[in-house]
Amino acid sequence: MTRVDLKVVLLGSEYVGKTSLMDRYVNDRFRGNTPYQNTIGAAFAAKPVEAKGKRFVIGIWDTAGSERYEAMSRIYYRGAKAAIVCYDINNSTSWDRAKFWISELRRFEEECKIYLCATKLDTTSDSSNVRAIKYEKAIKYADGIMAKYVETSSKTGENVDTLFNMIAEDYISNPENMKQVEETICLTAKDKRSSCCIGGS
Amino acid sequence: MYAIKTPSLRIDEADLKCKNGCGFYGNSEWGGYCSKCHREHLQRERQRKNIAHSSAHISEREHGGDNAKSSVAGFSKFEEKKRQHLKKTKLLKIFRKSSSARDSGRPEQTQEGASKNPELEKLKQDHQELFSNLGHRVEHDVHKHISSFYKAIREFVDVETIDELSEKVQNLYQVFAKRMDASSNYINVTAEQKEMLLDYIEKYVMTCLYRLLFCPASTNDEEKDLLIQDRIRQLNWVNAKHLGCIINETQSEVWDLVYTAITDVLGMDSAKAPQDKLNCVVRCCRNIFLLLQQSVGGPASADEFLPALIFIVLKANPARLKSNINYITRFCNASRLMSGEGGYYFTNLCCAVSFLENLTAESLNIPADEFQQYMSGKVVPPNTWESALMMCEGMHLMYEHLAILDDLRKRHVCLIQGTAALKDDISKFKNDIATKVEAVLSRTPLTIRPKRTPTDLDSEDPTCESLPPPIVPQIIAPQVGSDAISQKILVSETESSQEITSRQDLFLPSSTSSIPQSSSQDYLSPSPVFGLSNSFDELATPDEIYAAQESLSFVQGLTAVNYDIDLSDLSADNSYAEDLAITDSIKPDVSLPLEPKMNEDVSSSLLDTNESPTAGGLLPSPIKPVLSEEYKGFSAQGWQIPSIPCNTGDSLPTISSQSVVAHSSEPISLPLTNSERKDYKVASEINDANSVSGLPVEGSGSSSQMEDTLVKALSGVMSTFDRLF
Ligand SMILES: Nc1nc2c(ncn2[C@@H]2O[C@H](COP(=O)(O)OP(=O)(O)O)[C@@H](O)[C@H]2O)c(=O)[nH]1
Ligand SMILES: [Mg+2]
Repeated sequence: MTRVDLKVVLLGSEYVGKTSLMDRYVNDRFRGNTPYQNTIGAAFAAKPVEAKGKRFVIGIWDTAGSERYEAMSRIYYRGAKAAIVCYDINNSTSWDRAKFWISELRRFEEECKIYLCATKLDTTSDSSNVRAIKYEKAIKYADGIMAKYVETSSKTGENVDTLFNMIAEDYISNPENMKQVEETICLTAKDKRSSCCIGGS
Repeated sequence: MYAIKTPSLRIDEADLKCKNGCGFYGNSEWGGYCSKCHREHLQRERQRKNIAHSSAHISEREHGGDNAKSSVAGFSKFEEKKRQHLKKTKLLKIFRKSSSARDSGRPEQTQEGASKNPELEKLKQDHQELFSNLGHRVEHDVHKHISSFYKAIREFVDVETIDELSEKVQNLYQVFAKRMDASSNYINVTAEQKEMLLDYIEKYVMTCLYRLLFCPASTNDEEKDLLIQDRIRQLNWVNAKHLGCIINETQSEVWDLVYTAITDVLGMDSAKAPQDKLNCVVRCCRNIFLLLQQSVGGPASADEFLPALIFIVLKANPARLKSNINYITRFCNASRLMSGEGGYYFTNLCCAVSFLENLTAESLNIPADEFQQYMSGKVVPPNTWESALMMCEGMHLMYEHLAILDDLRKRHVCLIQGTAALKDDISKFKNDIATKVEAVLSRTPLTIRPKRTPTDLDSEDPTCESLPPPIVPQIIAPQVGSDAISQKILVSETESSQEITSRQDLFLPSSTSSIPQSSSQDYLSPSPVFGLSNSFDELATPDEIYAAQESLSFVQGLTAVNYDIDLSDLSADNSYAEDLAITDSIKPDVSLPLEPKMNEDVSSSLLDTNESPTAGGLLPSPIKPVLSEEYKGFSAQGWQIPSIPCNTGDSLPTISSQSVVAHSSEPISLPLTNSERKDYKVASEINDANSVSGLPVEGSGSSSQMEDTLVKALSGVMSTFDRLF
């Protein structure tokens, strides 16, 4: 099992596209309505990232969006460094739920950085489709709670990497996290050097 | 889409909130408090306990509002008391244990059976390659750390709460990680190997401490285990459809995977190290993903995964579920393992358990009355496969028991084999001894019995009619001029013969019966030295004492030189070990014809010990030693040791050095057989041993034979006297 430096948890109602978002970021794919038969699904993914010259691993936790498990979700986000709260850009109910998650997070996991994420941005390119949540409304809300706001599309991959890179950078910008990561890095660097030495001699 | 789904499971917010009202979520683990308040609460609790012990019963559990099953307050109080009592007794036990460990001067780790534990052995073996790659220095350092780690925790196991211990353990994991980065010993160790070392330490230490830290008596883990087990048993009617979980029950592969996943999660209880337990969870969850992929026909995600895990947990009903979860939470290397995949699955497992604990009709989307009916067991949902799975738990229990039985059977076979081997050994040993004894007996036809009988000699005159008239000593007595002897003889003479016989009759049976009963030490008495110490202790009646004194004075009157030699002998015989040393050093000097034979025949150590110091080895010529020995024995033991002196005296004129040696060796071989006989007793073969050893001493029935030998001995004695005076 790989060591994970940064725990990122995906929150949001069912069908908002959390799993798709993770799949897009980790495997750079979108399964849409025709799922890949031969792939085993995953609810957890670890991916190495590089930010500010440091390499570290982020672990992404997908959660069950069904409301019947909502009560348990705080078990999931305990100890998370970042939370991506997703809502379907076309669905105002999911927006309300997102707001609920955020208030929960603010109260119980103060350390956790919140990223408000609108999904299925690609669907808004169709002019006939009117998005339920306007950009201005969302960004205003995000600013109010000191969260970052990103609009993504797992289908096209738009802003997905941006979102995760932003998370990685924010994480490493925290001197405390930096220190932790550096310890691991220095450990690996030392290994490389010493193994070099062995090879040389 | 999502609007269709009505909120089904809504646990009352208040239940989740910290009881302190601080706004954070509480946790049933922490008595309904949040982590912060729980810690404060604990601290307060501890202080209160210190001040007034009796008031400490306000346990968190009683406060626990979310524990619907919590029993009557009075009972829980009792439980609490019991727990505390348990803890105390455990503490005592440990104190005792540790003190004994100190006494024996051995490090505690070995005391704990670190070397004996097969799991640790296996662990060591598994890591042998790693350590051989890393070198001795690393291995040494790692084990040093392990032992200090172990001691650090072991010391506090009974003093600190489980949470404090958990913190300590986590801290120690990190200390070691830092040490590896800092120490020059680890400079050539790769990051991967460091991870392996961390794993190794965790596994090793936690396996050692498992007994103490898993489900400790100071917590109520066990109660919770039982609660959740009962709860799951009650819920075993819940099927996959209720949970909204997609499991394709028509596919045999899915079936197999379901069973594998169940086995995996059940295996958690038998693993010892926290990360091994965690790995069981991970394996289970991976299998769930596989079975979901088969069922869904595509990659599964968290939405399908959690219900499936709940389903598996429900059907597996793992043993000591809560204890295992708490153990992993407390002692798994959190910084490393709990953030990754393992942590994710473990979190899901916790969710599943929490879901099952709080499960209501709502969360299953069924009417409340139907739920009630199912719960009360009145109605069983119609689904054959589900009911088959319901039996799964029982099946697994059965398999577990079968495994245990198998193990028992194996052990039993082992035991039987061991018994047979032991039996063989015993009979072989028995035969050995028999032949040895036979050999000794044939070499030395005179048995011990005569030795015993001489007692009579001193206390009263031999009354056997066949003996020559007592007049002979009477004549000699005045010549010697010893008052004592003459006095004695006079007394005996004046006594009526009838009286004398009756006295002897009284005496004889007692002496014969005392022979089989007496301990091996008694048989040693033929050695003059032993006889001296023993006989004086044993002197009971004034009569006997008188007799002993008499004989002593008699000998003193005869010769003083011999007596001195006796004393020196005594010191030499005092300790067994000394004897051994002496024999070793003396052996080369002694060149007795019989000696090699003796070594072959009888187990050498015992024989030698006694043989050389007392026998010819020390003594210059066969004749002289015999004489001195005779009187030694006589003076020292008085009436008690008659036969040896008498016998040797008898054959004195013709005696060869060989017979002297043989004679002196005889009493030695006897104690040997006697002690061996004890072994037989253990093997409950006493009877056989007795008959085989064929010791005349044992044969209580051969009284006539005994009398014969007695007569012989006495006649010998008399003739000795004759010659002497
Ligand atoms: N067009 C479009 N569809 C999406 C996008 N993300 C997810 N979906 C679809 O939304 C549905 C639910 O997605 P899923 O990832 O399973 O949502 P989850 O329940 O939050 O995990 C799926 O049918 C996806 O194909 C997106 O960015 N664009
Ligand atoms: Mg999903």
